[in-house]
Amino acid sequence: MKYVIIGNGTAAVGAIEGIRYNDKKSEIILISKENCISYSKPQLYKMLNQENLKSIYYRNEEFYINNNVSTILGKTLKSVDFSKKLLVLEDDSIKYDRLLIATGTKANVPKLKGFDGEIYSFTNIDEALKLKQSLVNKDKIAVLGGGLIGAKLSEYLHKMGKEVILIVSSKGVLSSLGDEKISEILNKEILEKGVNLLLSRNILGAKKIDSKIELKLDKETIKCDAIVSCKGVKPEISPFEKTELSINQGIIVDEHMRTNVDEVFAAGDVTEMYNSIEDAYCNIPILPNAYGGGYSAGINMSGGNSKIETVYPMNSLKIFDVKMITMGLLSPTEKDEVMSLFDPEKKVYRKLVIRGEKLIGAALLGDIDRAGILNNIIRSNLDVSTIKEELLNNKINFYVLPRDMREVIVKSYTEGIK
Amino acid sequence: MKRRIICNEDFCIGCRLCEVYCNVKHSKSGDILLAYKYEKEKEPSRMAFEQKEHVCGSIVCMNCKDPLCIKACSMGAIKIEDGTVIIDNERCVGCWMCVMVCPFGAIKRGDEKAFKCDHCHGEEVPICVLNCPNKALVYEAD
Repeated sequence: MKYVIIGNGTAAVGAIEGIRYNDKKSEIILISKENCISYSKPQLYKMLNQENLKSIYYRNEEFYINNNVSTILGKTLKSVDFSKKLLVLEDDSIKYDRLLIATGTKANVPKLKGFDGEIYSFTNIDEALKLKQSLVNKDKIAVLGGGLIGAKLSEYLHKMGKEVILIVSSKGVLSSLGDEKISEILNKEILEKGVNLLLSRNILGAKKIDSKIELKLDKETIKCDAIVSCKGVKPEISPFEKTELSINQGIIVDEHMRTNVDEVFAAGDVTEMYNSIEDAYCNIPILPNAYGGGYSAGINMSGGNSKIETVYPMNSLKIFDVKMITMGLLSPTEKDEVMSLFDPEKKVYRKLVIRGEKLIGAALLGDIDRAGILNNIIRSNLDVSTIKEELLNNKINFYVLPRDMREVIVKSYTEGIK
Repeated sequence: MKRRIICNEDFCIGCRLCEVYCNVKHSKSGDILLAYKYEKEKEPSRMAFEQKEHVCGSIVCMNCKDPLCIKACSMGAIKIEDGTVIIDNERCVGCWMCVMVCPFGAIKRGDEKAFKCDHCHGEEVPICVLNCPNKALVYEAD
């Protein structure tokens, strides 16, 4: 058996560990266009003010040797012939028996009318280092997009002493979470800390004037030294676009991480998986899904049987001094019950979204301890009719759950019984 | 290899001695007075004593069969060693992804680092179990 993995992110690492769980001997070849070992995407910000790449490594340098993986780094996949099980690289071609596609995402960089200068992005090491180098003589930075990357990058740039203008098209940062209160709290926090936050702004164009950039918005014109686009990411599917692979936004996979093509699996940010809460296939580019999906793919590729029960968005993040954990669906439909509490003094916010007495979404802001207990209630589809008041109002506590439920949870996680 | 500390809640009397012993064991000095007077904030107990009306018990890491924390850790800092889930303190950056997924709420937040029960560094029986006055805490290892 010859396994080939395309990509070197979290899903690829998960797959290597999954394959090696069953199969210690067969050949594993890993191809990546990035010329470095696997690193933690959520920690990419640290590259701006730390010299050492090591501080964000996802596994240590011996990982590939210890797992007997041959790496081909710095090489881009050009095309695939699935009928011949053949991968075509720039200057080489490689056959596979089983293939994992874990190519991740790439930055969505908009074209700005009238502007032919550099627009930086921030989704991988190369982009981060390029931005870092350019920052040496740039003080005023415009960040486009108030999603996770834009908000976090603004914070880092601000902490590095830069003047940051965060330009957001919607009414608040992280508006894609679907919770206005969270956006409101974060808007306030970001402004208070000294980032110039411009909301509900459309970008009309930009032009270069000497070393400065003039950025035209619908409400004003601002001057800056550099533009960083954080307008989201999209699955990296370009080598597969003209193939029989079933692709929507991302590559469609089933609960075993199989694609529609025989012997071809996909995992991580490049995929779309079934989201039971949305009842639809969704691209959920978060690290736990990438590792979990990659690991399951690895198990299944090497003859095991691993099924992903459910996927939904979740995130743990800190923007300046606001810590938050969000899980599941936060923008309710009419049929959903919403419970929330907000204490502006303590900067604590909690929200539960309940559908048919089942918890389908939760947000914890300020006090995030034991969030996993709520997450498990969502994941396990538990009935919360008798405990929802307590989940909202009290310290989250395992003993809030009824005894029979607790016993089932302990059994299912310790013995793996569903 | 499996290691688990289970609390029989019918026997738990809510004395919280498990927390006290845990604090002292994991303190720098190992001395109850010094630990409580000077170190408590830095070395809080790994036990999570929980109570709801008359029901109480202690929850620690259950060393899950397929730990979600390992999959969620953004630094790859969590692994299983000798049947115990271990957080590499050097690599942990306090992203709290583990806190987000632990079904028992057993991972605690320290000063920028996550920490949890370590079964007293592989001692034969953890200190909380040894000192539970009503034998509510039971240690299972096989």
